Amino acid sequence: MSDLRPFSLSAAEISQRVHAGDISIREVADFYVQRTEAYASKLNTHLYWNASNIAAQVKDQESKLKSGLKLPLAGVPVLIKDNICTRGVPTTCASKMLENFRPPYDAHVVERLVAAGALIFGKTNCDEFAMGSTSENSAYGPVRNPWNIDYVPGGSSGGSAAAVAADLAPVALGTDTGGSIRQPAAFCGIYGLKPTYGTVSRYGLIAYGSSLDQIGPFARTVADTALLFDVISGHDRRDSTSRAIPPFQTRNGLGTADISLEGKRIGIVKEFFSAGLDEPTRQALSKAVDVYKDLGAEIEEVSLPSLKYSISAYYLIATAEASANLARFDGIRYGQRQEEAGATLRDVYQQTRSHGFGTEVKQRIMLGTFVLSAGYYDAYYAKATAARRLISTEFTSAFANVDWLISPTSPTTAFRLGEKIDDPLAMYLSDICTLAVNLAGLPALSVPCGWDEKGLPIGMQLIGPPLSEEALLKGALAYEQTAKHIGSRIPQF
Amino acid sequence: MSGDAAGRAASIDSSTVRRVAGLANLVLTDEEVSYYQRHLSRILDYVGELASIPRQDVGEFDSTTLAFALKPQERLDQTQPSLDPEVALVNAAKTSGTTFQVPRIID
Repeated sequence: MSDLRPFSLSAAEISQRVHAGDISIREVADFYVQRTEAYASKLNTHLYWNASNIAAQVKDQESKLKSGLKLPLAGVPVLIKDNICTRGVPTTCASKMLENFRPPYDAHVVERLVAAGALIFGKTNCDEFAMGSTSENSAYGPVRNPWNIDYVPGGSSGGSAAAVAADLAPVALGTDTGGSIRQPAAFCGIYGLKPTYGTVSRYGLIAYGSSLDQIGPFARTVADTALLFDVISGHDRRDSTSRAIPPFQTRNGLGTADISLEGKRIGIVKEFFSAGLDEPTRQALSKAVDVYKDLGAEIEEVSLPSLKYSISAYYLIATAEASANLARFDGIRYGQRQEEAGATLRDVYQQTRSHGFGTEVKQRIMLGTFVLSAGYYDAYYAKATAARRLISTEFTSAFANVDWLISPTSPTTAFRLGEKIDDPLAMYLSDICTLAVNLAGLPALSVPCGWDEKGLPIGMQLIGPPLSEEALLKGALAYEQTAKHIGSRIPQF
Repeated sequence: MSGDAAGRAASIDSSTVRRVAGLANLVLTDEEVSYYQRHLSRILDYVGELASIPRQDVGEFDSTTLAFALKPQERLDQTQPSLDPEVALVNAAKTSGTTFQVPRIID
């Protein structure tokens, strides 16, 4: 009989105990199947999971273990956002368009997880095609925040974040195009890493904004964040934007981490602490900065004036890329098909797309189509790319003087369900702290750093120069070990 | 609205919404046209702030100038295995033999 208890074990500990023969992969799977049965519907975190499929994976991983393989994620349940392809397993992007789609191949990250001993435990709910900040834009209903089910979990990777926060799995994958890992991580009180562009293969990720999209991990500890990142990172020739670098080994660095930050220089991004930041978030961030000061870091204010363009630049570039990427959904090769009697090919395209896409997805496709259309390209898209270059250059200059930057992950804690759904611009404005990181291709980590008076979690964002994931994780570990927030509160749902 | 209008209070008329929807292979109801006209106008009004960027001082976007300085990865021009036809067709709503089926294009 296992001694597994909710919130009792990290992914690293599960793998360690499985290797030690202390618990079996089957016991881990049974425990998480029970939790999924009990809570997934209430939180609406899962779009697909199947106990028989999990049982088959348990057998496969047990036989690998018996053959003596060392598996970094032995028996670890991992949830996958539903815009990442899983062979033979429904992958809907939370859209009616793909409601019956079963990909014929696994994404690179899924191959890596399975090879590392993980159990693919299900597919998680999200905003349709990853377009949104609350996980309400799902054709299958909104995800709920385990800290208060009347509030959103953030988005677009809200199902993954809420499930990890509720311990329906120790870790999960999300995707981040403009903050879709970091913001839900902040709203759900867990860690979420958006890696440097090009460090995690996008092969098998259903594209939204190809120059911005990255897959990354969610976890409840820094060590698990590092563990999952190490497994999924590294070169893949099937993604032409994948860097020719070996997988990261950040976990080795963390094992010997000296939490003293003597000599480290941390920049406080002035623009992210201006109007719109709610008071509990400001106070939590101020306390977190004090922790870093006490650990010996030098703190200085940094100004990146072009950040003011990031919302505009992001929503023009992301939607322009989306308008091209989502052109493939035409009802012919995959996904649903609408075809009235006597329909022409163009009718099929139009009927299928008009019926299959939700309101926000149509809006972003049209915005992107508009800004790329004749007569508007120079006024909008070209300006947005110019702003992107300005933002990127300012980050490069900032990192000449500081090791990393700190900001809130979001100006506020989670909002109530329905609060912003009818006001897209208000929704877009809430992404102010995360968008610029994607425009510049940088790594950034959301770190839980407290709760507001309603008991909703607050997140701090650490931003580093390209390929500085290990340094960011070490910085987060120093904070985690000092502030001791992790495990001090558990969501009641 | 013309291209020169970007940067000022922008609005987009209903015929432009319908034209853009057509370019994107979408058909909108009158209600949807009104909804998107309202929302796209607000968004375009907001992004008009980019007009203040002096483009000649910044230059065109080039991914190699970004902080992450990504160089395209090349690979050998070698044939790789691809999906078997029956696997490639399994998600299609209509097929015929080893092909995707579409409505007749040429009479």
